[in-house]
Amino acid sequence: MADLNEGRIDLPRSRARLIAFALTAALLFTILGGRLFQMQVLNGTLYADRAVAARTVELALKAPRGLIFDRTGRPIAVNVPSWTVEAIPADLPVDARARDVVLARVASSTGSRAATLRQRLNAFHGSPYDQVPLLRGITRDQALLLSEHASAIPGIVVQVDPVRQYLDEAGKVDGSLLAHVLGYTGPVSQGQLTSLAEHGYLPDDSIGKDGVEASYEAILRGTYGSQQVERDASGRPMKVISTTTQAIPGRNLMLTIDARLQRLATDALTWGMRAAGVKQGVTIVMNPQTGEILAMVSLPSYDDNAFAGGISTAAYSAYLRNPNQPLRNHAIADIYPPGSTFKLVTGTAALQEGVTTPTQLWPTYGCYQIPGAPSGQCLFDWNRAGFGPLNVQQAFFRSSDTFFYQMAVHLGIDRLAKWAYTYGFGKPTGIKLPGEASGIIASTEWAQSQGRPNVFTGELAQAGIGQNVIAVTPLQLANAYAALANGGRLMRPMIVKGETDRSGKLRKAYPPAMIRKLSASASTMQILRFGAREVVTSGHAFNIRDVPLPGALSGKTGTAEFGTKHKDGSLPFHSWFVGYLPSRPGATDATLEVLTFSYSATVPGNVSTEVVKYFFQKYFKVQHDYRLDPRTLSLLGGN
Amino acid sequence: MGAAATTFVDNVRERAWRAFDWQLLLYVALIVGFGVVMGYSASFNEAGQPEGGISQTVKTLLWVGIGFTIFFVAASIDYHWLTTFTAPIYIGVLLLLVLNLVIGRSLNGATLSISVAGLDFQVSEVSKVLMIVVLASWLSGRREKIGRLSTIVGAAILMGIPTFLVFRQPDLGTALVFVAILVAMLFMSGASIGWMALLAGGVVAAAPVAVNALAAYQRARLFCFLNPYADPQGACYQLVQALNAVGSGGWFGQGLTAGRQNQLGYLPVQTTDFIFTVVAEELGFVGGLLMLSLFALLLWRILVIGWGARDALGSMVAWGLASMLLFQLLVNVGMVIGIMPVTGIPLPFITYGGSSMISLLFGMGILESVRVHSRKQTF
Repeated sequence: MADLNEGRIDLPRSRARLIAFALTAALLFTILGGRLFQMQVLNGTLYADRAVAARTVELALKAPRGLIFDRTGRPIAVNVPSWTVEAIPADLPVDARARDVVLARVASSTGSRAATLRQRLNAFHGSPYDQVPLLRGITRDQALLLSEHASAIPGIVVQVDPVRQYLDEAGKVDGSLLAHVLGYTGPVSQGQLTSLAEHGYLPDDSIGKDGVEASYEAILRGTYGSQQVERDASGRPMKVISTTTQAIPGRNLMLTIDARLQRLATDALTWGMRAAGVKQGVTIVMNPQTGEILAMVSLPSYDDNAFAGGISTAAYSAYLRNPNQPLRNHAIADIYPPGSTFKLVTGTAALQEGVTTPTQLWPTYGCYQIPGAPSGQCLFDWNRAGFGPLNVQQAFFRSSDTFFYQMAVHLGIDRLAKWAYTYGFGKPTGIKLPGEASGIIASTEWAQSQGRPNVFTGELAQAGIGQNVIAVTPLQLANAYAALANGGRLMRPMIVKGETDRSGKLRKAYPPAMIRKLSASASTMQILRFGAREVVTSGHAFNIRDVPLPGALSGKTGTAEFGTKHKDGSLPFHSWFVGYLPSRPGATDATLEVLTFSYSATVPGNVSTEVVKYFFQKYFKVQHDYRLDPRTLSLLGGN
Repeated sequence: MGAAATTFVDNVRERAWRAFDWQLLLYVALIVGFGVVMGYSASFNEAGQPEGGISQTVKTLLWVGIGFTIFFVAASIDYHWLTTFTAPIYIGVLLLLVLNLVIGRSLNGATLSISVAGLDFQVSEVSKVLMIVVLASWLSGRREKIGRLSTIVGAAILMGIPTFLVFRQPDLGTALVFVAILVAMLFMSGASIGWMALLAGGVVAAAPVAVNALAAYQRARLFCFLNPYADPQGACYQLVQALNAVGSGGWFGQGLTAGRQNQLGYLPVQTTDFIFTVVAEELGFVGGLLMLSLFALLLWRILVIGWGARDALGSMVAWGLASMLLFQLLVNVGMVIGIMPVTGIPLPFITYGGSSMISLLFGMGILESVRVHSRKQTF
């Protein structure tokens, strides 16, 4: 090439500067290339890992909650899909008019009002990529309709989530039959979440809040799995990369409850309460041999389905305002004076502690002079005439108060308390239900905790007949009589029979558990069982004896007057009846025990006996109706 | 067709075409083609589809067509017409920049473009190439006065006014490109290295003041450049995502149109200033090196043309364009590989933008003209 620059007359060219420029350029290219090599080839994995980590989140894979069946395999707590219409603001049309068209289409497909939807959408102030719930609980058909027209409603999605549904014995949706046993599930509260988060609970998670749902939460919930999900820059999950751990479905439970019995017991109690003007009532049906609870009714009840879908504040506060506390399971959470039913404990203690022999006769009185108290300060018998001399068995079936006053005074409070504890009173039975109360059993220690040296003798005497300083839960009482019925084994009441497969077939039975073998002798128990039988044949429960039953019914009544006085100055009547019998003809052991407690009756007399009678009539399909009107019972049901 | 047209074609055939630098055209075309493909690939979203269809790519191709037309027009005209028009060009640049400050449209907070008949016209992009022409023309006229301080001061004033106007947009990136062009062209023109070093020392001494004058977001960028992983979720989020994308490329990349960081929207302004992250993520080290090699070849070619230019004007235009390309490449690629702070400087020929494409191809056309008109002409 010829020298092109020989004619140049302007600036001279500098070869040195050109070389310097070229070298600088070469150096810069080397730096860029070298840095690329370092980042991509040498440290590529590090950056790639960082990139993946930054755009990957671990999302929980929810496990389906375990189902709950009754003891016959009927499903009573199931999961049903619940459809929710949600809006993703970022995907909705930007133009306000186009947006209104979308909302109007949603409204017309779901029979709701567009204005309501718009209001809910406008009330939301989070990320535009969040899903804003507009309408919960739409029907399956509506959900399908919306899905079919998805292209006409941009920004609208239908989310399906499982919610709990509670059924009755006929498979109908009924949240009140077993509300207190099953409880309900509800959203995890913010307060709980802090402690539950480490157990894998999510902010939008639900948790068992009461009943079996709460006490068997760990089993029903299952184990959530987790997935690695790739997000886009706006945080929307885009692709499942891998499933780290599979979700393990919750295990299914079979209750000891028989939903049909629950229905019978509920109907019987409902009738008795209405007939006697009773506001609260409890019926417990159990197998005294195993401690299995066959029915547990606490009235008034509530609708746990209302909770499953998220209860409204108004409905919830209405439940809270109700003076009869429908949300409480009165069978286990509330304590009442057991009245004469407690004579089981006093009788056992008197025999075992040698206060009396089985045949020893004690005088009874119309009014028992409290030892050490000023003359005339006496405690009445319900029978103001007195019974004359009685032995312990006679006193039990006639329910003589003054006999048991004397036993208690001779025993002293601590020996009485010892036997109360032996029968399981004074502390929770340990049934797997939340909220069980302990009850009150008077003792020296108890008196001292109240700031006095000991109980007064009058209190001691009253303790002997289950009044004043004694309070028990209906379940404790039922369980104590179960021990009497089964020959002295205090069982732990069971509410869950075991685990089943998805169809409700029992796969793993939970074994019955004995709390203790009562230290009372067989003869002591026998005497009291005889007494209990006589209560039915010739004692206070004789009203029930005409009902044809498959085996010999034994039992004990009890009443107490306590609470808030009526306008006329009288106290409300509370009545107990607890009875047990072999459930099949020819069986020798009692396998069915029914306890009923009616609280706050407006009429005197033992409503509970009538309720139990009615239950037996239904249970054993007795054709004739032997029920009496509780209002005409007068004081027959005395103690 | 008349006689004039015949003359033009004859001219081309007889002298120009033989001198035409095919290599320059080849490297430019390869880089532009590379850019079109990467722009298309960068538009892919998470669904594996180009976001908004191929309309963007069609637009790019339209600009490329216009750009190459201008390239050939500029190549076929003797570049000395630039000397004649230096003063009008300079005044035109200043007017445009002032106009831009007054009526420019806001883009990411900075007023960067004027919309004419619906087409966004980025004044600062065009002004870079025009200022190279202006400076080349002025410096080549200095002749024996080139070693004086007045050369440096004069050039600084000439360049300083548009630099200030661009800085006020605010467009720090383009302002820095102006400064780089100024320094490189002064150096190559034969200006006094002593005076330059002295002035450079003064500038370095004033650096702390300059840092204080930076806007908050610019200081945050500086902070992230020094330590990107100190605040990966906050101020440095975009840079960290870009670094991760580049590193993820490995040897061969994740494949064209398959970069996950890109598709999932983690890369900021991926079709413009951060386009190289897509190159690095999808084509890996090999692809990045290929791109750098094409630029290196282009630069080499420009230097060859500059050295062989018939006069200082041609040389100076070549040095100016070379320094502009080198500086933009260094800053644009450097910021996504963590060796330069983040500044809004486009990657020449590859970052999407009509004004940039047209002005760059115009510049390349002038270079071709320099080449063509440097041949010793035999009539």
